Amino acid sequence: MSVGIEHFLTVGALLFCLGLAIALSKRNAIGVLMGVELMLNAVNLTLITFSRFAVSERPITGQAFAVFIITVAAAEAAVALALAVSVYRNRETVDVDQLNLLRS
Amino acid sequence: MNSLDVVGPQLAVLVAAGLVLLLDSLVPQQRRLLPVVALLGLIVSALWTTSWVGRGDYQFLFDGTLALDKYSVFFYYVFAGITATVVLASIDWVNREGRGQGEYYALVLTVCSGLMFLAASRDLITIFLALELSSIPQYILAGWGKDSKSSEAGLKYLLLGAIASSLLLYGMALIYGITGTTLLPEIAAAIKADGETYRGLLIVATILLIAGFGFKMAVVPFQMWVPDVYQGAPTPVAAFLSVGSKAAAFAVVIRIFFEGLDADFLSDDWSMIFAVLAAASMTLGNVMAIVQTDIKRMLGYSSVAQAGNFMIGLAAISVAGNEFTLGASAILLFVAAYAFTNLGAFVGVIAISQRIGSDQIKDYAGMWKRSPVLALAVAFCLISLTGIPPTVGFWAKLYIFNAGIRADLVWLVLIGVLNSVVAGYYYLSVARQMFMGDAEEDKKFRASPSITMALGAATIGVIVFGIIPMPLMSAAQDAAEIFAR
Amino acid sequence: MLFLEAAPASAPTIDEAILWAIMLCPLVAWGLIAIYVRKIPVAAGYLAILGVGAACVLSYVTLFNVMDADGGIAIHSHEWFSAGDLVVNLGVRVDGLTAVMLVVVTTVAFLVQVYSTGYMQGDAGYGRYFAHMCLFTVSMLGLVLADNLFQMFIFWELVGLCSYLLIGFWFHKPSAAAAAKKAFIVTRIGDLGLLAALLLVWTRAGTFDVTAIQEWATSGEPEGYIVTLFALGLFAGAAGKSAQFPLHVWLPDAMEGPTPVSALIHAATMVAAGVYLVARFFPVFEASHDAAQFVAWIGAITALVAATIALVQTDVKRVLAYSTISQLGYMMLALGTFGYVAAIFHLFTHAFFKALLFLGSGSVNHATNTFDMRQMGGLKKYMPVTYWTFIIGSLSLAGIFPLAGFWSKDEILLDAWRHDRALWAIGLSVAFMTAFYMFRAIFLTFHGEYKGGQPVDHHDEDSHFHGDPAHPHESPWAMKGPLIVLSVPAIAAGWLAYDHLFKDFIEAALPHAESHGSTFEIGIAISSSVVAVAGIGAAWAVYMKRWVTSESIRATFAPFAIIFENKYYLDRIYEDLFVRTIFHRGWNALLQANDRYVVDGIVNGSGRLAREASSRLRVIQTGQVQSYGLGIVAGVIIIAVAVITANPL
Repeated sequence: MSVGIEHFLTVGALLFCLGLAIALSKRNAIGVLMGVELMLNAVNLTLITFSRFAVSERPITGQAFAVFIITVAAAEAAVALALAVSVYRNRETVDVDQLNLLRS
Repeated sequence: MNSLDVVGPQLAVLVAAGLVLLLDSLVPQQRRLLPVVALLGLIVSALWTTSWVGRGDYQFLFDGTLALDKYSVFFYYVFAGITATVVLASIDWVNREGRGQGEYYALVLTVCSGLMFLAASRDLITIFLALELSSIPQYILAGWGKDSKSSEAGLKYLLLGAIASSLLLYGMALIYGITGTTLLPEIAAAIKADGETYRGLLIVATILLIAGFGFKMAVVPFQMWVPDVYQGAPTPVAAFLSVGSKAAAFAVVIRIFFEGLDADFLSDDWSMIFAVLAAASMTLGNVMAIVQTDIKRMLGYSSVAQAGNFMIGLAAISVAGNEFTLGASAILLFVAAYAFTNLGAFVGVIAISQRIGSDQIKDYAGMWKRSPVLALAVAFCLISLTGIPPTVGFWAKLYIFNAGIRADLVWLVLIGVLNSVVAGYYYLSVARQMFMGDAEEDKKFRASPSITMALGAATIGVIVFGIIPMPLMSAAQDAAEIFAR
Repeated sequence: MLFLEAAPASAPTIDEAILWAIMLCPLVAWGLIAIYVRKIPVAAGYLAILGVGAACVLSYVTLFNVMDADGGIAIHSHEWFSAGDLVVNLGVRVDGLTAVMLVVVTTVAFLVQVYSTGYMQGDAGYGRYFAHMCLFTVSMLGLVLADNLFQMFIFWELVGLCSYLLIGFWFHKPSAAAAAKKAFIVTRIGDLGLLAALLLVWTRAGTFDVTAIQEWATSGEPEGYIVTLFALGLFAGAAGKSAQFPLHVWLPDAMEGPTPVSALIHAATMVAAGVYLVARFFPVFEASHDAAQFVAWIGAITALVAATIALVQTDVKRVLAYSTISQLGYMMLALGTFGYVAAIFHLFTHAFFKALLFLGSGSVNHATNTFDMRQMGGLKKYMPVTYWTFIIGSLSLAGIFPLAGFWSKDEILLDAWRHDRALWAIGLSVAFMTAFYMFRAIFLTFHGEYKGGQPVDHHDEDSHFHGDPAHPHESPWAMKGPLIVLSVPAIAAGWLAYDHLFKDFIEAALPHAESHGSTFEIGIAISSSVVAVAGIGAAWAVYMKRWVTSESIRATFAPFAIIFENKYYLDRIYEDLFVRTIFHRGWNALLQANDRYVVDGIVNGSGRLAREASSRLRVIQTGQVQSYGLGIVAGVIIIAVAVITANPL
């Protein structure tokens, strides 16, 4: 059995769901962030898969998209860490379930 | 060179951002100049936009990924105006906060350029980049305050925003896989050619896109961050979020869905989704707003409800193929009207909260006696939010309801009308509090000059376009013309 | 600017500018008062009088112009707003109906303003009062002049808003604030119907233009039930504003406002708006007999209910309030029996004599510091001008020949007679009660011994009373003048019925010039006159007899004492048993139950429902990021499942 597009896409989808599950269940904000990174990487995998297997015309687009996503994810992570530090200074915790000053 | 000319408005804003940063670090004693430079950048941007309108030279550039058309021009003006108002309204707050003044204005300007790119994008990649260009600085701005509420708001906004953009990206990836391209017109062609075989996947992708943008538009069920972030973020930033990113999200949704995904076998589905989400947003937003005691939270829920009104326009576009521009121009008019109105309301809140040091609605009692002009201006904005003449909000609501009715969405319009009544209850109870309530103290005060300018501009817009709506309306109709088929 | 419709052949030669000026004069006065002269109250009063006075003069000019053109219609319309095929115009329309309404509104408003300079003297909110009054007049004029339903609706709501401000004028008084709120909310319930009618005509006819809607409704193109629904929607709005059963409950409470406000609201503006609306769209009601039947019966029920309540009121202002409701019921009854002319004629005459009566009651209050008739009596000798003008107003209201009310009420009864004998019988019994309660009020207020009024409470900061209630005196000229002026039309306005003068003038406003009945008929006239005189006689017998039973007379005419005693006994039966037990406990309790449980229940219930729902929904707003994220994901899944189920792959 050869490894084809279905397998890559399935792995991508599973990875996305796993990332989502992590993002929605980890208590630590950094953990949530890692879940999001996993989701983004799943998207990257999917994009690359499509550009490799499914797209005949200008396959470079999908790869370029993936590169942009990686870049933006880095920027986002940097900002997230900065905000997490700021929260930690105020509250001495980065557990997301403690972030409940703002409600109802 | 030609291409640079065409992204001039964005460039002007970005250059101003750089200048602000430079000025802040090189000439720290002249901090007062920072907002002036920011405003100048916005003015240059608007003038640049105007110069094209004069030349009438509309085109696509960068291989068609950005569009320079009447539609993006309309939004350039809207965003420049919104940002200028936000800058004016921020001056007092930023001065008091002290630190990082240059960075604050630079970030605000960066958001503005991101919003402008977003309105002009015709390619999934540029849409994503523009979205993040506007979002990431917004996360920072939301967490700009020193208190723990503000940083909590920033982190919450970021985490949820990141989840939402992951969903959006997955949807985009699916569309790319099905169509083999990221350019909206090519996507449309590919879907029309053989998209029907992938209908299931396309629907999933569509829903993921709606989720991603629905987060920015603040529609149910993607709205839960809104009240928390509005309450925690500094008020000028909350004003920016409530108007800027919502408007940009609607701008890009109209483009994506009606340039990219308007195949018949799909549009029936998402028009229904939009209609149902519109009804849910209006109802939930209004019902929740009634019990709020904090005015910023109330405005947060009201912004959810207003997003529902916007969405009537979206649903109307997709249902009525031939009256397409009616729905689109309805949204554009609503964007402009909402920008004036909601900014006015927020700036009024800034002015009042600064003096009384509270965001509680009960503390607004007797404001009429303490600062009559301010109270009157805020009251007009609240009336406009409700949709009562003679304000621009009335015409916007009428127009969008008309679009709904012409698209046979009478049930949705009825829900909208009923919701307007509910909305009137809580908007006007704030006004009542200001005019009829008894103030605990009756020391008179005036808003600072910059805030007066911002509030004055917004309120005059609300009233003047409330009495003579035609200019704004024809601008919106003109801009929506590009979608005419 | 484009003229959408060329004027018809007999169009009045009237300049568009004049019509706009009618609206603008009070508007400018309002603006000036609101901006500049809040601090100089005297100027506010004069400015208001000037603005409304100018509008009044221009209204008469318009009236004569329209008369010259034999009631022709002139329309000046400009495009205001367009979205797709929907065009909303900004325009004015003048015809006989408009001209009459203009004259009524501006005349009464003008006199009320003059009167107010006396009545409101020294009130802390003097400037605010006149600003509100001006705006109220503007909204009413705008409503009357509008050439499309949309513009009408805007001014309609503005009238509602102004009434809210004026009824709650003394807003620091809890009862006034509550009354204002009640008026606002109850009329809003009716307005929902009007809004529905607006939406209906927007979706079905695609136009708001009055003429176009009239044509649309009568063309037979829309299905019958659509026209009926539209008519009923209009009537719902009218029932709210014109206080028709069961939405009448706000009007008696609206007495909490200053008395001149009551005069304006009850005589010329707010309550007339509903009748005007139905009259304006009269062809629609003609096209739907079901709707007309409904209007007629609601009108009759309103007239009856309100009259029965008026019999037992002790507050003179409330007697007048219920009487207003009752007379509005008459007008609706007339409209429902296709008595278009009769209804407008009654509106016209009623405006004058009811304004007169309200101002009269205000004058009495000015002397005695109370509206409670049990604390009055014998004012006849202290306040002759007030007394005689009050008598004129009451006779006119009771329908005594040859005063104004006689002619208009007669036409209504005639129309009812031709249409349905049961309606006529109700109308006739109401005529009896009207005469009875008005003269009961007169005998209690002006005859007998003076009972001292209400002592001034010097600790009450809300009290605006100046003078000594123990020694009542006639009111100043600013108040007497309008009373005297108003008694002229209260006597003579009905004579316009001569030679179908009024009828021809008003009917020209309708698109088709077929006659709508209602000429004079001697049988009806005699029957109603007899009934009215009987009512007055009954009041005299009951209430003057009470005077007869006082101690000195009793001693002199001892043999008659038992008879008087018996009369007194009957009186007691009437007051205590019949009225208090049956009416108060039974009938009135039923009405109050409607007031409390149905109307308030809807109002409070919807508020409570919203609050309940939102406190339930608050549970999902936990403040937890991850539950919000879960919400997003759940939303995606639910939407996906729903779409796939609704539209399978």
